[in-house]
Amino acid sequence: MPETNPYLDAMRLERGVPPCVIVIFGANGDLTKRKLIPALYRLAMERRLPPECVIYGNSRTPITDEDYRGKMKAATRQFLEQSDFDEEVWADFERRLYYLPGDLSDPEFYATLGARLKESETTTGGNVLFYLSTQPSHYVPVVQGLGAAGLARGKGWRRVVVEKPFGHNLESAGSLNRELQKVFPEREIYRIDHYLGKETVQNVLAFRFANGIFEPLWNRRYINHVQITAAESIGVEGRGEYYQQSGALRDMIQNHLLQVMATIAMEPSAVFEPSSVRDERAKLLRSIRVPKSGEIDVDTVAGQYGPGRVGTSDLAGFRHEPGVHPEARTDTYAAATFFVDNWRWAGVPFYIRTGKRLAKRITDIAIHFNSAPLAIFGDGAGQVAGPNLLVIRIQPEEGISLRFLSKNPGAGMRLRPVSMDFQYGSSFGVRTPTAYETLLEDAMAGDATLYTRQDMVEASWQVVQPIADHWDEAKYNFPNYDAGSWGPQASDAMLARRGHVWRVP
Amino acid sequence: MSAIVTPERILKDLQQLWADLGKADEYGVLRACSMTVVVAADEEEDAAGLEETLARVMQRHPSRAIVLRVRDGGDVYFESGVKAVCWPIGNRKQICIEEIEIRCSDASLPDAPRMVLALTVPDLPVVLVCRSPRWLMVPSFAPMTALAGRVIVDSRRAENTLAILRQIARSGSVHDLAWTSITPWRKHAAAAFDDAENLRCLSTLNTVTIAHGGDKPGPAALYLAAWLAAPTAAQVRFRGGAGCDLQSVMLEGPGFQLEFTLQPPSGLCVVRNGLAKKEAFVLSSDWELLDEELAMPGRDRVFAEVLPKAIALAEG
Repeated sequence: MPETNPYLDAMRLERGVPPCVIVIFGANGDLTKRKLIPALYRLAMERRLPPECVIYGNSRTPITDEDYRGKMKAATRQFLEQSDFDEEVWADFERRLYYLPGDLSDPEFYATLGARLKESETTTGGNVLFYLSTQPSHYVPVVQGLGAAGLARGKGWRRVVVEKPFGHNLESAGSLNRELQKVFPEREIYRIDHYLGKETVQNVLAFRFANGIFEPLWNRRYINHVQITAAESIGVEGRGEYYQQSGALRDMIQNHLLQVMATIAMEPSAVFEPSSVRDERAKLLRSIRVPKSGEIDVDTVAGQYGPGRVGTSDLAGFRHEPGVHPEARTDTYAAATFFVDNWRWAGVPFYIRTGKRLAKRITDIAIHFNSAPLAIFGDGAGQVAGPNLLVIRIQPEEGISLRFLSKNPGAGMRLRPVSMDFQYGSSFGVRTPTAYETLLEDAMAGDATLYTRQDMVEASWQVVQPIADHWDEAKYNFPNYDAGSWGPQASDAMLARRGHVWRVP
Repeated sequence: MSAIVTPERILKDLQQLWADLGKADEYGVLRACSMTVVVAADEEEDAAGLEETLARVMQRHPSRAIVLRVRDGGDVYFESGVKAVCWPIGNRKQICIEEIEIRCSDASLPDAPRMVLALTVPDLPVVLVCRSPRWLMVPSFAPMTALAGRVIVDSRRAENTLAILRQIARSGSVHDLAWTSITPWRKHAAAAFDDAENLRCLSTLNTVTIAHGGDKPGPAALYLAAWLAAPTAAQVRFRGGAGCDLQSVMLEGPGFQLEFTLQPPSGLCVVRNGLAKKEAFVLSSDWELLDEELAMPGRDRVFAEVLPKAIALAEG
């Protein structure tokens, strides 16, 4: 008997997603409305969601299937990205969408869920994907409830997708991991970091490892420093209560941005397989130097926005946002300088900044190369104006641009930086799938390449925890930047110490 | 259409076209190009159909399209024209691609490759699409196939199947839309063998039967039969009849029977040992086939392995 299906043809035949039941806990939440249901609908539209798949949404509010479908239809219409809404596709999709009200602490609820899963077994083979889209405090009770009711094991596979935050510190991350692993084996735990599902972040791997010309330059000899920016122009948008407990460092750097940094800096894996790629990412995260207490004041910057004015709009300061304590000490801005202690990156600073209410919404990675060793055209020519710069734009307008110097037309030798641009939108006429489409499909197909692993979560907490502890104890003079600006001045000073400046993206 | 036809003249016309477009649109246009697609077609072929196929494919693979339309005739004849095809991308911006049409006579065909070569976009892949496989048999067309990194033909409507398949095999880097057209069949068959029980029965498979339209199996039926039989020791049988090119596939072995039957317009009935299940089945349109083929990175190893087996089946 052949061990593998000889008819598989990865080049042309799309990977098959097996039929399954998807159970979403937190079915009335923002994430479900904005991301999960629209993503599942898009997968159905593209026939990437098997017709046998059934979706159960759970929340406490007692509403009917019909009401729930109506709510999700409105949400999908509103939040669907780069796509038209198709009534016919929705009509087919909503027939598979059910609402299962219930209290997550009530064993009776899990018994009811178990009975529903049993009903679907003939068409789905018993495969179930549990999606924890609830408040983090519910993660452990839900997983324990599933375990106690015997739902973590069954005829088919049983997987659990966990949203960030994976703990609020190193200790709680370890504790969460232990609780999850008591019920689900590590290989069936999918910790989602939606940044890794973004097409451009995946393209970093293609860019680095499928092109021969960049990788030889990708090291301390040619790269001067790296800047990673994830700026949001919006404030906390009604999430003030949650956000004041986490802050920019925990909410963005500990997970998304360290993962992005790992993707930029990791070694090539021998093969493109989930465990190999994740091993390399984990190895890089473990190589990030853990900052010592004396370094934290000079290599990190915490910030919080105060009121500001953008155009004709007056913007409230963080402490005036709904649900936020008037003396909240939360960091709405975080910047840090990291170093990777390995032969490739020794001495190269990786500057990371993220914040809310910054000048514009942009996420990008800027690789600053060293200047030419000798300015043969002289200072007056403009050669000092710009070393080569490679910018990988993650959002919006995903793409890559390379800045280099060119001669100004006309007499004399005056140089000016010019840019070569690649834009995803215009080079590939196809729609880019959203991160959640990619990641949900991967989870159903059992591909964990773009998901984070326990050791990766703990390695990034190792780096961030000392900073978080230091910031918790320090007394900052918040607010220290105006809404609509590029962040606190201390952040510019952090780069200036090494002779660098933040680029204006 | 230009009176004087030289590559320089055509490129100048293109330059003028972009300059005019830029002036006409206050938001500017974004010119996109990821390859050169050269399409060879007979002049009498459905021009509107070809235009539509190209317009749809170009949105997914922004390219410089060079359409070469050839008419019968012993006179020396060349004509050319350029145009842009644009579509909106939001924020009042639009993306445009360029299309060059060259009309020539059979007698002028030997001069066409040189002209096309000068019009390809430097450093980007060149794909040659032959609407009919007859182009592969025309000696004066050989330089054209040599300049393309990838040649796509459509043998589905070819009359002499065996000769065409042999020619495709000889030409090396040729890809066939008849092979592309069986992707939905292959997808369903492959999915069936994801099932461990079906996979266990594969080694005992002894017959593959393909029901097709017409007296003799066409290229698509031959490809599908060759692909299905390849990992097994099964005999291949063809059953001709009225109707479309591919109608059903039956895989049989001791105690095992798996049948896929087309149920127009968009269904496929899958029966395994008497248990039936209906699955959605969508046949690709012409532009979707071309789109799939253009999206293929490099050589299709599976096709390269199947082609000689399909030829052997055609030889009987």
